[in-house]
Amino acid sequence: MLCKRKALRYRNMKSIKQMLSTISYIIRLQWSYDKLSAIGQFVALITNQICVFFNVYAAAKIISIVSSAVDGTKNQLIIWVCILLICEFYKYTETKIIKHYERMAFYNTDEKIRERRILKISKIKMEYFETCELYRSNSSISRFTAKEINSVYVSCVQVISNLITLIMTGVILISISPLLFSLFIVAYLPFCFISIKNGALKAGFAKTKFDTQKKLDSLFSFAADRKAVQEIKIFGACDYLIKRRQKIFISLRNDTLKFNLKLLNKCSAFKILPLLLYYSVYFVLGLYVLSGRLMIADFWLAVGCIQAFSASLTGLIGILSSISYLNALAVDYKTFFEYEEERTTENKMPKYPTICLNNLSFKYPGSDKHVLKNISFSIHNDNKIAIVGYNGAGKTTLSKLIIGLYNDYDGDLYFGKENSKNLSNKSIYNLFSVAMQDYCKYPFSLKENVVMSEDVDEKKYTDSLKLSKCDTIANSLCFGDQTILNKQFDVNGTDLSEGQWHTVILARSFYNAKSFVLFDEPTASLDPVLENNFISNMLKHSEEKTVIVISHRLSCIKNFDKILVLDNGQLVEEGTHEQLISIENGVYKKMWYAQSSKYNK
Amino acid sequence: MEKAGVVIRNIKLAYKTAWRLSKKVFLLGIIRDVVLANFTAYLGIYLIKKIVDYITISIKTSNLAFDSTLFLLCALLFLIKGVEAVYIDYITILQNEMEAKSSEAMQNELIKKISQIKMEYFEQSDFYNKFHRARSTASHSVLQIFNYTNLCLSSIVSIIIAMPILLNNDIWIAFIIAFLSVFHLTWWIKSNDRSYQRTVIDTPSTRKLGFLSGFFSMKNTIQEIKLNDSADFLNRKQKDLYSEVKDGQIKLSSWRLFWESIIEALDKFGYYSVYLFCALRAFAGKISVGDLTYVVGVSQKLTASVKILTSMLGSLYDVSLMIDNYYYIINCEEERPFKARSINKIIAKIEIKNLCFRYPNSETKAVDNVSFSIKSGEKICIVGHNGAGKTTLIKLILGLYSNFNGNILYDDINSNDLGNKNIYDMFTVAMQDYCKFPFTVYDNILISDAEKEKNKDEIVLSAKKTNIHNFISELPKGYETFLNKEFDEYGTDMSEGQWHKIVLARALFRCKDILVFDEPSASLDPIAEKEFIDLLFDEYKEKTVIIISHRLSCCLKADNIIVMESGKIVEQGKHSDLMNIENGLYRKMFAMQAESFKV
Repeated sequence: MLCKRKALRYRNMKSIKQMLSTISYIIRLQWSYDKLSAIGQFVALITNQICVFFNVYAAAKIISIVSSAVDGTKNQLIIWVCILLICEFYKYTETKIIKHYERMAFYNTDEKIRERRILKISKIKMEYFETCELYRSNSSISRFTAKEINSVYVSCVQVISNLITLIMTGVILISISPLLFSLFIVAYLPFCFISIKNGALKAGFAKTKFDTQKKLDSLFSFAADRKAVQEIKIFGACDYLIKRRQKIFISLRNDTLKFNLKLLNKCSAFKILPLLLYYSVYFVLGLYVLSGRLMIADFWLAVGCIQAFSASLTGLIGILSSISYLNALAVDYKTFFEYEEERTTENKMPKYPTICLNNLSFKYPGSDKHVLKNISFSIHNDNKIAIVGYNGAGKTTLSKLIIGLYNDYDGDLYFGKENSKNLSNKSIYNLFSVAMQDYCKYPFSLKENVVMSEDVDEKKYTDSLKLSKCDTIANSLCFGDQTILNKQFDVNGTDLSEGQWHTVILARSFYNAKSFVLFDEPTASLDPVLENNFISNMLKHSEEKTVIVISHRLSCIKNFDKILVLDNGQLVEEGTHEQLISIENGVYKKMWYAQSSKYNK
Repeated sequence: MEKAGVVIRNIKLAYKTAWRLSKKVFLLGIIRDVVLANFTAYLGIYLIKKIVDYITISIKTSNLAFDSTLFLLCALLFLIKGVEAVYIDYITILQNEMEAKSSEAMQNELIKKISQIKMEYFEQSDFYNKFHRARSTASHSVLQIFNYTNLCLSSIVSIIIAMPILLNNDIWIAFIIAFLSVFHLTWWIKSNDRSYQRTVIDTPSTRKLGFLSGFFSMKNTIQEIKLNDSADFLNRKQKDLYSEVKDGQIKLSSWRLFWESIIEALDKFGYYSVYLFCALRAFAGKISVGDLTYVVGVSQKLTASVKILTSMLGSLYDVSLMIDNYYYIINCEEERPFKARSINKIIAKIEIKNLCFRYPNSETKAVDNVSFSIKSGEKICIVGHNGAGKTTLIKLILGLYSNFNGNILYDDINSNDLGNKNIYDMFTVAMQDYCKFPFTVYDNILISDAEKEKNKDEIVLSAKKTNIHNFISELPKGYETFLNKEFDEYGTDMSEGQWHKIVLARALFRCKDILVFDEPSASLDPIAEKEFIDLLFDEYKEKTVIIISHRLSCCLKADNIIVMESGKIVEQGKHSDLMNIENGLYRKMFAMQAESFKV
């Protein structure tokens, strides 16, 4: 029993330590993004509290002047009312100014946060994108904007400012009646504890609620997407989707209701206690006034102080309980930015390297199955290499390893004499120009989709359009190559067919041409004429380049220097077309005849 | 005046919805806002006045003795404040639940509506803008209107109570405050109008920013960012979008700040003049100290109530404008309704006559004067260049688009005489741009015919037919594996070919008489391709199959091959017929492919 309690206390200590370190991280972040706001808010909040105190004091002074009604103090009365007015004005104007400046600062900070996020994403090791945690934290930090960072900072400052008010009003209350004051504190204590504990529970509940809410939102986005809508109409799947949502929603709603009611019931009893004491103070102090031991002005001062005191106390408790929630968000933010990045070294990539794979094995993180087993081969300069195999054999994974996307593999990968693990990921990326199978369709203009940069080499651009036959597409569009390739986001936008998009992607890879080229299923959506055209153009213009092509279209790669056949993660056959055709019961031979037999009847 | 009309219309709807959702919460909410809040506030102020008067005016004894009158007053004060506190907390939770229910109902309405409206809407960018705004209002707007209106009513009651009290005390300043309220109101409405206009202008950029934010979380985007080193470029595009939004918003908030400050300054001035006026009168002995606190408290409440009333009225206008987006979507034109027993279950033929179609906002005809027919049991292949219009033709036959010229007859019944769903029910389809349902493998196959009795065997059978069953059974959770890494630790990604096989299984699971495949073998390896095409021709002999493909090898056994070019049918017939056409497009393409297979 003692061990359990000790363990609980240790866990609480650890979590408090962690919370403090996260909060200091966020405060430093706020400071780095926007010093002016931080200082301004600090000054504003502290002086606000002083104003609050002044208000209470001035009100009491006015009551005392009015009740004693001594001649000659009329001017004093007017002065005190004016002081009240000035205090209010001050509090009010600087709040407004700070708020406005804050709003502008938020926009700037949000920009910086977005930039930071993109840059970080582009540097995180690709392995993390195979894990669940990264997607969760990526979507959770999109909720963590400048506003949230600022709330954490402001909450901390408010803790300080509330403490100041507590001290100031506390001093006055003690001078009036120490007994009442201590009773007040005692009555508030249980409420404090319950509130803070409730706050932590709420934060934990909100986290689970967030996951369920995400599921609901993703179902909604899915059902509202045009691609899905056409299938939902034809399949009549709308009711099914609504039923799925309904199930999730009902359980979410019931859980929330039960949770909130439970919290409320616990809280209510303890809320009543301070309220009871608050009004009994009225009673006791009233008795004092009745018995002449207290002036009415002091009564009013005491009442005002108690009001300010309990408001500050409630405020303080509120902040402490909401800090757990903000902390949860902040932790996600912090861990996201602590994800391991890719390698950066000064080592230079050798020019025109020969790529050598030696006993390469790879499995995705979190999986037990090896996707690639003991692969060894080499790619010499100016060679044309093809990788073929059944679906799921590991072709795309192998190509991703070669171009440097994944890092945690067994075996060796050499670029010339350099081991790839000694080279920075970026230098490997710079060696290749790539057209992936799951290419991205950016909602920008056709020209931007090809060039993907602001500086355009016009000659290279026109050449790559011609080479990929993308110029015919550009000419057929209303606004030429300035047309936005997405109807949903632009009134003048247009949608392209899959084959047309594929042509644009090929133009992109021609524009970025490097001495090593990778194509993953380059002709999958192309018609026979375009397919033929692509292969002949590509071979013609890459005589001095090293080309790697993954394709199911064996007719495209039959003249390549080396064809690698993968089956279940292993390299089963290697050689030219003629060599592979002659292997009895070979995988390549089977696939070739499956495709060619219909043509050569 | 029409502004008032918009608001009143939405208020009526909001009250009806709230009443329907939960009568109990409806009544309790009204009681809390209109009755209880004002009751406790004014009674509280009055009791404090009574207490102060009592302790200042009554005869002072020097004994610290219990005083029953004082005790009664304090106890009463405690009672009303305590009840209010507990009541408010309790009611808030119930109201949150009601709000959650209403938002869910509205979202489901939107989903249902989306699947029923004409497909043509999805070709217009403005539709997406309105939908985006509708979606954000569906979360809370109806109940927001309910709450705001209650607050307005409560402020009106409060003003009605406060005015006579102040007038009784010769506080004619009350009239000035009331006059200022008109000024308030006009300003709030103008401010909210400008704010709404700003939202409308910003919607396209906001949507794009939201899309990009999600886009940058996807694995395939990130690998491209790394490979192409395009992080800076994308960042700058994001910045440009963002600055469009930022500049407008900052201008708006500066304008609001300026006017808000002036109005609040006037308010504060009014309040403190009342304060000074009463303090001087109390000093001169015309009113008691208790009365001073009383009048000051009441005028504070009056100023606050006026402020709430006018700002709520302004916000009501703003929220109503937003909700109109929702009603726009709900009132979009739906497809033709389902007509039971209007057509046979198995149809004998489909005839397409002089079909012409162009997408909304487009100049070129996607399909130009196309005529052909499909008989039951035929295997049809549609081939042609990229962008020739093959997919569009298929979508027209499936009944997705209706604004075309010409006729499509299903068993001699014109498509206009059939409900869209009647047409959908004839087909099962695997599209080229198939959708990936972010749930389990089982769900992804089931979704094509979710109403069918959940028969796991049939699902497994479809998966076996497309040769994906073995792969699925090796997954850690088998058919219950999530095809999405975010929602489940055991979630997994699949290669494009594997996804395509699941989509083909999805199509096969739904047993209809006409099967349509758009590029079924694009991602399949040669063996899988051959097996799938053979499956279609051999096992589905009695069914009608329409295939769009660039792989002309599947056309050999087809009953009819339709060759399209720029939206028109240029050649039509069996393989052997088309190969005999001199300089024919089909012959050229087939020869090209066959040539490439010659060694």
